[in-house]
Amino acid sequence: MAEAETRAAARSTEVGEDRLVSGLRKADPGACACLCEQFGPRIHKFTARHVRGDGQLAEEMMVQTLVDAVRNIGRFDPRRSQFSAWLFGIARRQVQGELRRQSRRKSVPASAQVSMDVLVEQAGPGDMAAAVASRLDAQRQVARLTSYLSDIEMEVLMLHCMDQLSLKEIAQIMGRSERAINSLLHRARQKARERLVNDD
Amino acid sequence: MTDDFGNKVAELMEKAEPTPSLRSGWKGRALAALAQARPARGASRGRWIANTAVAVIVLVALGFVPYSTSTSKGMMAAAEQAAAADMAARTWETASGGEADRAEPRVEESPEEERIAPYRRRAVEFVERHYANDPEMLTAAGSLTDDGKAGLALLKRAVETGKYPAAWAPYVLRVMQAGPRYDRVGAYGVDPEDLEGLAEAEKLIRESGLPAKLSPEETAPVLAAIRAWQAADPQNALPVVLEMTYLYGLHEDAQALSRWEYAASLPVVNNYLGDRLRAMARLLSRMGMSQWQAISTSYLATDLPTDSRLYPPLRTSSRIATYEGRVAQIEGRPKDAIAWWNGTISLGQHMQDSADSLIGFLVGLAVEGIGASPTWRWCPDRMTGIPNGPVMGGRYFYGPQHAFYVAQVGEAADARLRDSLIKGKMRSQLLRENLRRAKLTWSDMRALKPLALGLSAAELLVLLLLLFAAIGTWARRQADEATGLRLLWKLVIGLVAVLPVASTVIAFRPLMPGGLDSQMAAVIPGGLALSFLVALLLPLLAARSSRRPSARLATAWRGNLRQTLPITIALCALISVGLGIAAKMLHAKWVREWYKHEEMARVVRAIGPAWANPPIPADSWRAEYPPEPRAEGRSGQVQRGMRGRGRR
Repeated sequence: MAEAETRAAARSTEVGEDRLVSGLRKADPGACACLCEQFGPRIHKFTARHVRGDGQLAEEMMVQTLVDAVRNIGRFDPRRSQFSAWLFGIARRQVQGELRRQSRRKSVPASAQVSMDVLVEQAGPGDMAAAVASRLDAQRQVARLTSYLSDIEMEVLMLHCMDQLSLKEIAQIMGRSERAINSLLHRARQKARERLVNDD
Repeated sequence: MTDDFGNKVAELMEKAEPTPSLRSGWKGRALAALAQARPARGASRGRWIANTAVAVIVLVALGFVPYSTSTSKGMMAAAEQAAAADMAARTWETASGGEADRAEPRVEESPEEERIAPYRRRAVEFVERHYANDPEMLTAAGSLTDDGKAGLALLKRAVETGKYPAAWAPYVLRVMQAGPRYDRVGAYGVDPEDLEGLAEAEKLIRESGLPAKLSPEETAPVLAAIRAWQAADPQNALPVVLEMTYLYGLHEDAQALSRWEYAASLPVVNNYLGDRLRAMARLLSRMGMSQWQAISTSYLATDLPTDSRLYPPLRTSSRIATYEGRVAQIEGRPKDAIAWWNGTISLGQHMQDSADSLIGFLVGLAVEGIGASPTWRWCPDRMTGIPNGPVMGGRYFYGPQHAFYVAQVGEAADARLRDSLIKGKMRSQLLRENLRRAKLTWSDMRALKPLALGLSAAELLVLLLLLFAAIGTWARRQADEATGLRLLWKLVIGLVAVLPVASTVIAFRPLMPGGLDSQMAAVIPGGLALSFLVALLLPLLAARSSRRPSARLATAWRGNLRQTLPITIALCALISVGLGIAAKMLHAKWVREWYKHEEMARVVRAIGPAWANPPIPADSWRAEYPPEPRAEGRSGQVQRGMRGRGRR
């Protein structure tokens, strides 16, 4: 809860969307820097989740998302969506394109393997065994969750929980009504709760 | 934003798949990439407007700007009317049923005249500006213009170059039009012993108000022009025949007979119609008419009604010769009588042999028939009451002077004449049977089909492009991702959309030209509309199964359209290019053939070996006088005189 409050406080200090968009339309370098600051880590987190920990690829996709946003800022219509939703929409299409390319390659990408570097970085050399066990346990839970929820429910849940996006933003990203997203999220949460309770 | 459960899920996910931290220097790399990126100019709305504007301009340009001179206009005009190209057929229609000596084109009602009128008005100015020293173009413009004085001046210049013999015919014709006319009993083709017929002819002469005798002063310029033509073209009998008619009008009958015999001895009777048609087609195409329309229009633009005034004098002079021969027979001058008649027969045969047009051949046939009428006469069954006549619904019987003729020339010569007459009639029959295959419109229609289809396909292509431009600029990524249509299905849909247009091509291939225009007009737009509908609706059907779970049907439809329309467009383009090339080649071949082969040569080629040796059926003649000699022919009827030349 405290983390959420911190995030909200941080958001309040961010540059307003209107100013950011007008700066990007004028190709203002300061606005580009703001864009990186405000959205770079969030987009990276989003892309990294979908490419299963391939940090380099996630960063490339994040940068490409920001570049696409700058190039196509003329197409952004504030009356139709929020800027963050529009940006995540671009990132989502990047991810979908990448997943399509990966599926065509029909080989296991490097990102699908467990990254020991990340594990070491997070756990530290001392408690490696406990970290591996904890992670494998978490992965099992996520795998069960994924198989229990539909793709769209999972996606809505992730956008809401992981990316901290509002219902309105998710609706704009996914091209659905807010009510539909609310319903999906409600169902996803219910199912996830059931599954997680059963696992416990 | 999220509650405890949400945070718990997030932690679980993070633990299962920790988010890799951003590599050091990521911001620098991102900023460097962003520094290269510039907002795209002319975003969605502007691009949409630009695409629409370009498409509309292309559409308008294709549809209207080149319309005044394009092949599409010529094609449509030919499909609607095909009037000028049917000249040969209409000539035949007037000449059918054994009325070959009345063969004369009827073009007064032709809607083509309206199309030619602007060219008539501009012809002189155009040629003076661009082709002032080209005798072929001078001749064509001199014939085309409706300004008689300016036309005569152009034709005179063409004649004076001495490089283009075909200029003489229209030049002399223009001089004759300005010259005097006369009316004399001999030109009516009555029997001198038929007092009733003579009285009727004299009554008609009085009513016409024309003099019975020409004045030498008025006739001198016409005779000078005709004699200049003779000097320039000594092997051609036509100017000699024209001279004979004017000498007869001057009542210099002995000289007229002499010129008639001389004309009969010459091998060629040529009014250069073929050459002048080519010149006219060249002029019209240079003036902006499409080439194939110029060719089909050249028949009328050469002014056949006026031009055919070179033919009525031939028929009139044949009647004069028959009349004068009969007068000589009555007056006891048998050699003169035979000279008049045999001269006419020879002239008719030479005309048939040297004709370059159907009308020339038919008039030759008529001249031969008129010359031979005293000894052999074709009688239709309806006149004689004897059924199953094998020669165009009739037979040959003795003419009224048959015995006299045989006594003078012998039975063998008489039999040769009879066979020649029957062969001529049989050739007429072959012409009638094969005219549809040989006439010009056949080639027109063959060229028309691929042209029409090619252009239609191109128009379809433009419409699809317009649609594609509209769809392509509207939320394209969203649409692309809303569908998962496989490549095979994209190809299938693209191909099926083209099938209706393609099937019209296949459906029309085996059809003959008769009635093709209206069918094409109905089916081609239908095929286009069907292709268009299929191109739109098949992607919609496919969208039901190809759409992503989260996508709406309409979005998936747009995505499918974006993916299938380029294939349809590419196929249409291929068809269009292929048909265009085929049409070009066919058109070029058609034009080449037209310039290479004259009308008569085309007809003879279409008929084949039967033309050289037409079958002579049994019972095609009878060695007897017809049952009712007064009823069958026109011996008792008064024929048109010199005053009746031309029907315009």
